[in-house]
Amino acid sequence: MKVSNLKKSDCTICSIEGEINLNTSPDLRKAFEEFSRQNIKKIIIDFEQVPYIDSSGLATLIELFQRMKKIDGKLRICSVPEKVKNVFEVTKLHKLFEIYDDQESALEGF
Amino acid sequence: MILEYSPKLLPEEVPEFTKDILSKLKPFCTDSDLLFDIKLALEEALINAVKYGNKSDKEKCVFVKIEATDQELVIEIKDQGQGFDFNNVASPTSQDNLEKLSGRGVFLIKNFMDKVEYFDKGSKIRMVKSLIQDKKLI
Repeated sequence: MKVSNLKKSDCTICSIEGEINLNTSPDLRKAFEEFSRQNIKKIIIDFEQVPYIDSSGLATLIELFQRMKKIDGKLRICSVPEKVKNVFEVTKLHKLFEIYDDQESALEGF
Repeated sequence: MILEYSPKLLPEEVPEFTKDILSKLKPFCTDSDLLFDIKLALEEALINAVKYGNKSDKEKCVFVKIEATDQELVIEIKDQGQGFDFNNVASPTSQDNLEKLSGRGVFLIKNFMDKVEYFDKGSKIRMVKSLIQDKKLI
C-alpha cells in the first residue's frame, strides 16, 4: 500500500494505493497520525486506487474520523470503487463518512 | 475440488494465506465481484479464528476445508478456542455502535456470503457462496 499527500490550499488530499487490510492498516494509521502532528484540519481521502478494505481498514478510518471530530476538523472520502463503497453501505458507515464521487466534488465548499 | 489445510497461523499471516486459497479457486470463480465477497468473508473468518478463537497462539491450528463445485463454494473453518455466543453479537450498524472500532467481522461474513452457520459453540463456521451468477457471466 502506498499513501501520498497533496496540499491544496488549506486542505490535504490523501491518495491511497492498494488494499487496506490487517497488514496495511498499521501503515495507514501512521500516515493518519502524521495529520494530527501537523495539525491538519481538512482532509480528503481519495480511494480511487483502493480495490479492497476489511474490518481493520474500516476501524482505521473510524479512528481518523474520531480524531478529526475532536479537533473540529473535516474529513471527506472520494472516488470509492463500487465494491468498496458497498462495504461502507452494508456496515452503514456511509452515514458516518461524507462520501463524494470524485475529488472535484469533495473539494467543493470544503 | 476439495482443499484441506490445518496451518498454525498468526493474524498477520492471514492475508497471504487467503490470497493463496483464492488463487486455487480461480478455475471455479472468475467474477471479480464474487471473488471480492469470498475474499472478505474468508479473511474475516480466518482472522476471527486466529485472533479471537486461538488467541494468536502460534501452537494452535485452524482447520480449513473448502469444497468448490460449478454451483457453489463451501468453506468451513474451525479454531481451537472456546467458541463464542454467535446468537448474541451486537449489531455494528446500530447508531450506538457505528463508531466502534471492532465487531464488524461476523457481520461482514453474514452479509457477503449466502449462508452462514456456526457449530461447536461457535468455534466452527460454515459459509456458502453460490457461484452460479459467475457462470452466467462467462
